[in-house]
Parts: sequence; structure tokens; C-alpha cells
Amino acid sequence: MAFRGDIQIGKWDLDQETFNKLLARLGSDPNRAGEKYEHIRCGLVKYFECRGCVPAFELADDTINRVARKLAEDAEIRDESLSSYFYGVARNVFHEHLRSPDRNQAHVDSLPPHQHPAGNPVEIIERRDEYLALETQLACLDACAESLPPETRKMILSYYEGKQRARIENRRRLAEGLGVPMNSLRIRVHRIREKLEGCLINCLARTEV
Amino acid sequence: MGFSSLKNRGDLKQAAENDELLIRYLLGELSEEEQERIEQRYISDPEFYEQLLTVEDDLIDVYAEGALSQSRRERFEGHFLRSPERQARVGFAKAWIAYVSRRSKFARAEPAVQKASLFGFLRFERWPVAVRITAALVLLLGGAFLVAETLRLRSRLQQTESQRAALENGQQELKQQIEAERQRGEELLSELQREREARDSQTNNPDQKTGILSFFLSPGLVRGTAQAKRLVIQPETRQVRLQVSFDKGDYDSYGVIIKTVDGREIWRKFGLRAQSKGPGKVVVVTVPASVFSTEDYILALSGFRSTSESEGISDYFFGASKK
Repeated sequence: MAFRGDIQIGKWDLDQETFNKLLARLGSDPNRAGEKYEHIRCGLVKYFECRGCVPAFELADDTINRVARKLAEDAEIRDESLSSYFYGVARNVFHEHLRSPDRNQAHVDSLPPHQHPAGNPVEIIERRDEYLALETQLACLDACAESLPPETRKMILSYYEGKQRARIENRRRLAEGLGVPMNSLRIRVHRIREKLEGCLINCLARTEV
Repeated sequence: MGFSSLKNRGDLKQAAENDELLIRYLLGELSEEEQERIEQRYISDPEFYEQLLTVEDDLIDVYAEGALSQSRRERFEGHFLRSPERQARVGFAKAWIAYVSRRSKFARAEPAVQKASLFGFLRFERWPVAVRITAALVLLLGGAFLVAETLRLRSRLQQTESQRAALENGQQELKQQIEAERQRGEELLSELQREREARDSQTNNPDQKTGILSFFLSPGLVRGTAQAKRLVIQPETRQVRLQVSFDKGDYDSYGVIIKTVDGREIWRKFGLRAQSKGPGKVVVVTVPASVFSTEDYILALSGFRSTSESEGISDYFFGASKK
């Protein structure tokens, strides 16, 4: 697993040596440590996301930088409480973010639809193009779905078959057929969704070009 | 807060409660203390983090399908949907749901299209280029083979037609041969009949009831030869029925004169009609047996036309013996 070199996010720089120290605290096996690092970072992004912070990944990286700096300064942090330490730092970053004067100046594109300014001319144009955009998305999704292995494609399409109770029952049968617990099936589907989402973004980018 | 481990998710009720708790977390409906417990948990527990992701997927899907309640939709839009990343994920979910729905409707509305999808490998445009080229070559060679085969069959059909015509000609010839053989058979039968009558006449056995003796005379019998016929008249014979055959000549009527060899006429009759018999004709005349005695005779057959002209047709020699 490759990691970034020098990172400058927030108030501190994270050099390779500091980053290596962080990984060493996460585990003696570099691969295992890398996986743990990725998990913590994703969890932090989710945390800031759920707390309504924009952009969440910047605040997550700021949190990691702060923890890494503390570790470089040989702060006494027990291994078993390292995750809690990350969480504690994240809460501080979050509270600082709440006090930040810039936090309410969100870009219009980052606002949810109902918070967009009324009568936005761009929105009017977007509505006009909505249909074409959807068709483009569907064409891309078709290509993305076709690019999946047949069994995977069959599984995710089956997962979304039906409505309400029928869909729940269908998913239960699907999990039974695959011989996995329902939660494993949901995680599998989540990963396929991530792939499809990435594929869709790439496809749309190519279409725009 | 009663949050159970993922390892116990076999309990569906508990799993549903966990999911509900995570949904409330994602919508910002939990207290600060509840939020912190969940956050600490998913930052340290990858399995729990994955569960959060799947619940988030479900929540996004339900919103994208417009199935969230009014209050939760407002929470979703006001809290959850703040980040551009999440907005993008909702955008993806809407597109994905539309895609699955359209695909499903398409499959239901047009079974033929579904069939085409099931047999999608038959769609030429989906084949790799190398396979397309191979398929085209196979079709080309197949077409050439079919043309050659058609020509070969056409030639064979012509040959068969010729053979059939030859067979028909052969059959026609055979029919003609059969007809000729049939005629030949009739002639032989007629000749046999004549020979039988001649033999009968030679044996001179008159019909016991009528006392009529039938006697057959053919042209070309020469006097004094072994072939000369002899009429044997039995005591019970009252009449002799002479059948005089000849080959040529066609006359209105015929006349018969019977003479002894020294020229003495013993009997005559004119105005006779000829009958066709086989290839020739026959004049039948009945002569009283009493006119004959034991000696040789000559029967002279003449033909008459309407102009009263007469022609001698033939003379017939025969002998008579009276018992």
C-alpha cells in the first residue's frame, strides 16, 4: 500500500518520518497498519460528514495530522486507547470548526437542493438539461453494469428487485441462496455500489469531454 | 442505549433496532451522548463501520425512491444532505434506481427483448472483432458451399429428368411391343383355331345333334399332295359346312362352284358374304352331304363387284370319302 509523502493540511505539516511513526503505532505489520490507517481515516471522514462539516475529508486529515504530531512528540498514548485518542482529537477539530468564521460560507454547489437560492438561473438551465443528464447517466450505468462479472451483475440487480416487503423477502432469499448472512450481503452490495459509482463518475467525465 | 454487536445480527429484531439507531444517527436525531458512543464504536470497529455504510446506503435509497416520511425527509435534506459527497451519492442512487426500474419494466413489457438479452451472445455487435471476422468467413464459405451444392443438385435433377424421359420412351416402346405381341398372339390363336378346325374336318366328326360336318379349306392346297384335305362323310352327316378362307381381295359378294376334277359341276351358290377372321376373310357355305361321293373335287371361289365384274379368287382341292 502506497501512502502520500508530505501533506500540508491545517496548521501542521506531516512529513514522511512523522507518518511512518504513526503507522508504526498502528501495527508492526506495515500492511496491517496501512489497513488500520485507512479505516480510521474513513471513520473520521464519516464522523465529520455526519456532523455536517464541509469538507469532511479535510477535517479528517487535519485530525490525523494532529495525532501524528503528538505521537512524534512522544506523547504518552496507550495502544488500546489510540482509536479513542483519534476520536477525542476529532471532536476538538469539530468544535474548532464550529467556531470558525468561514464555516457558514458554504459554496452554493455544496448546499442541498432545498437550500439553493430561489430563482437560480443555473437551476433553470439544469432542469432543462435534467432529462438528457439522466439519460446519459443511465447509458453510463448500463455500460458500468455490463462491465461487472455476470454473477456480480446478477446479484446486485436481484438485490434491487421488487418493492418494500417483496424486496426484503427477495433479499433474504438471495442471502440464503448465496449462503451468507444478510449483513454480509449488504456489505457486498455496498462495495459493488462503490465500484459502480466510481465507474459512473468516470463515464460521465468522459462524456463531458 | 442498547446497541448490540454485529456478531449477533442473526437476531433480526435486534438487527432492525441497530439499523434504526444508525438511521437516527445519520439523520442527527440522537442525543450528543448517543452520537459519541456510536462514533467511538465505528472509528475503532471496522465491522461496525461497514454496517454503518450499509445502513447509509439503505437510507439514501429510500430517500431517492421518495419513500421517506415527511419529517425524516426534512431531516435527511437538512442534516444528512449537507455534504457534496452525500449529494453525489444520492444522485447516484437516483440514477441507479431509475436504471434498475427501467431495466425491470423493459424486461416485463417486452419478453422478446428479455429473450434477446438472455441470448445476448447472439447479438453480432457484441461479439469481439476476431469472432466477427471468423463468423463472416464461416458465412462466406457456407454460402459458397450452398451455391455449389445447389448447382450440383440442379445438374443431378436434369440428369434425373433425362433418365425419366428415357424410361417413359422405353415404356412406350414396351407398350408397342406388348401390343404387337398381343396381335401376334391373336394371329397365332386364330391360326391355331383354323388348324384345329382343319384337324376336326380331317377327323370328320359331325356334330351328333345336327349332323353338320364342318370343313375348313385354306388357299394353296395343291392336288395330289399330302397336304390335300379329305372330307370323310359319315352316314349321319346330312350337311357339310365349308369355311373357305382367302387373304386378298374385297368384293361385294362371292360365289362358290364345286366341280369334280374332270370338270363336272356338282353344286354352286352365289351372293355369299365374306366374314373377317384374323388377318384374312372367310366365306361360309353349307352344302348338302348328298352331293358328294367318294372322289376328288375342286372348289372355285369367285368375287363379284357391283359392276357385275367377277374375279376368280382361288381354287381349293379336297377329296371326299363317303362311308
